Amino acid sequence: MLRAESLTLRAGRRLLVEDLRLELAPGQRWAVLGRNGAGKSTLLHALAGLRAPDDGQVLLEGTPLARVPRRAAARRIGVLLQEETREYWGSVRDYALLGCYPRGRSLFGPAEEDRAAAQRALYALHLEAFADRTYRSLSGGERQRTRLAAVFAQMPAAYMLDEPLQHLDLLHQVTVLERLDEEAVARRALIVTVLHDLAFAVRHCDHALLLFGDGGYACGPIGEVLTEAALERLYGVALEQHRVAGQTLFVPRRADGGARV
Amino acid sequence: METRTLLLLLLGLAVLVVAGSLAVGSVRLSAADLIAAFRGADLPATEIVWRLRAPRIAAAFCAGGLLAVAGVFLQALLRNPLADPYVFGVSGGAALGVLAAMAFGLPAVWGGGLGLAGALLVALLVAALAWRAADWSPYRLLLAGVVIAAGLNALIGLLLVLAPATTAKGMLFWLMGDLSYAEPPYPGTALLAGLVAIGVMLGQPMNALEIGRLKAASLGIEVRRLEIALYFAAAAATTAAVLAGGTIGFVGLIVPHLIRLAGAHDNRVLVPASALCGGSLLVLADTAARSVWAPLQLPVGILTALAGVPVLLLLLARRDHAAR
Repeated sequence: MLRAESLTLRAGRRLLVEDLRLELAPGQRWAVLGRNGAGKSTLLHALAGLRAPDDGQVLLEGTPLARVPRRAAARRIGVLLQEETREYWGSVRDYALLGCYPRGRSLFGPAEEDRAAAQRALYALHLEAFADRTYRSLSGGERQRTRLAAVFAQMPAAYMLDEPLQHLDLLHQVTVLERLDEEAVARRALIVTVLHDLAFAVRHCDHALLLFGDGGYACGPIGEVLTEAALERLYGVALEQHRVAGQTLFVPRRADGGARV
Repeated sequence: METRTLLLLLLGLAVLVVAGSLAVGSVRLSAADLIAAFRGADLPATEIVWRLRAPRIAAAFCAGGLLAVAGVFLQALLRNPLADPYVFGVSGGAALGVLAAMAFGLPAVWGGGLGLAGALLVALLVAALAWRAADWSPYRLLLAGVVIAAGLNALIGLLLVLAPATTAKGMLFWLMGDLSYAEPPYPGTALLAGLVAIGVMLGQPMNALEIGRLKAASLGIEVRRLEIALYFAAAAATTAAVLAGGTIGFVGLIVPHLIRLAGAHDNRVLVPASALCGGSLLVLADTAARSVWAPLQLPVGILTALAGVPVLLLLLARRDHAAR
């Protein structure tokens, strides 16, 4: 669905990603991992067509993204930005309806299907009681859920989510990830998420892309890419690997040699 | 407030203000006179209404509506609540053209032509200055606009100093905002109607743009194209308003905020509501300008500024209150 061909990204003079070759297929769930400032958001923007590559190109179903009209791209790709420049003045429902804009069938208000899509998204994130509250009046986590609801209301074929779990409590972290699993399985949606939680990456993703921050990267099926050595290089933290309840866990090694309370 | 209620209220206000303004003046007309005039009866009232007052009221409504709509567009474009139609110097360019024609005693047609040329030149110049590496930033646009506007103000000052004293007074009067020479505003009315329609259509993209450029782009909006459209739409509205009645202050800044205070932030509502409200307020101000100290006529710009300052302060106080 999305293919990166010799993609190179820079921030000013600094090289973030060099010569990235990546094939993202429908139904796959990708975790993008890396340190702060490694270029995860920049890569996500490039994959969504919000930023021109410094070299190489991104293809959406065979067409270079730069040549796909913005509206057509937004019908396929839904983006959750890490932060927004300005606060939104309207209600939670209005915000979710913004997600329906790319489909926009009517000039005069949202179509019935759009209202239904927005309503479903609000329900999925337990926001139905907040629908008429103003976005401004919400807490950080509630705002994050509203922004996620707008992306779900967009019903894209590819989800590009920049730290979807930030500010969320455990219940909603799990809610969001399970909802994304459903999208991947039921609608064969492509899911790309920037994550910092390795346990969730292992639990909910089948592929991983590691950005080492010096232009280097590793990508592939998650079992092959997420090794102790690769992750220690990625984060610069000594790790130990455990298996708990049938799942691989990577835990930072304690400096004091493992004494526990 | 419900959207429909707000728009109906503003429509009612507009009708009321226009009817009131038709009745008020050196000759006071009764409701019966107005009805007779509308039926085209052969009375002096008919002449007063259609020849003298209607064109000026239409021009005032049109200029007020254009300024308010330009304000909405620029506030969305710059993501800045203090943006007003005069920040970019487009008005300065138009004013310089008109004033130059006045200073050199050229006929009024020249004033319109020179004003139009000046405004177009400044609009293109500011856009070119803000453009870098195939993109512009609202910040650079604002900065370039403010600098050019300051330069134009200096030139206007120079023109006023150099003009003969008798002409200078008329120039100053016009510069402060004066609708007494207004022509029937056919092109302006068409422009206002067109811009309101465009504003309603671009309402949702403008809403998204207010959250941020990336957010708008992620929703499938061609951000740069939208910003260019907003910029030139605002420039056209400002130019038409300035050519009709000089640089009338505060309307473009305050009217959008008044509508927001009434609860409408959505640009699809804000644009038509501001057009109605701006038009009504300027008709009201112009009626006061021509009748309060009659037969002396005041520049309407002085009245809008005097009325605008307390309104703006009130807005600030309410905003502080809301923030707490």
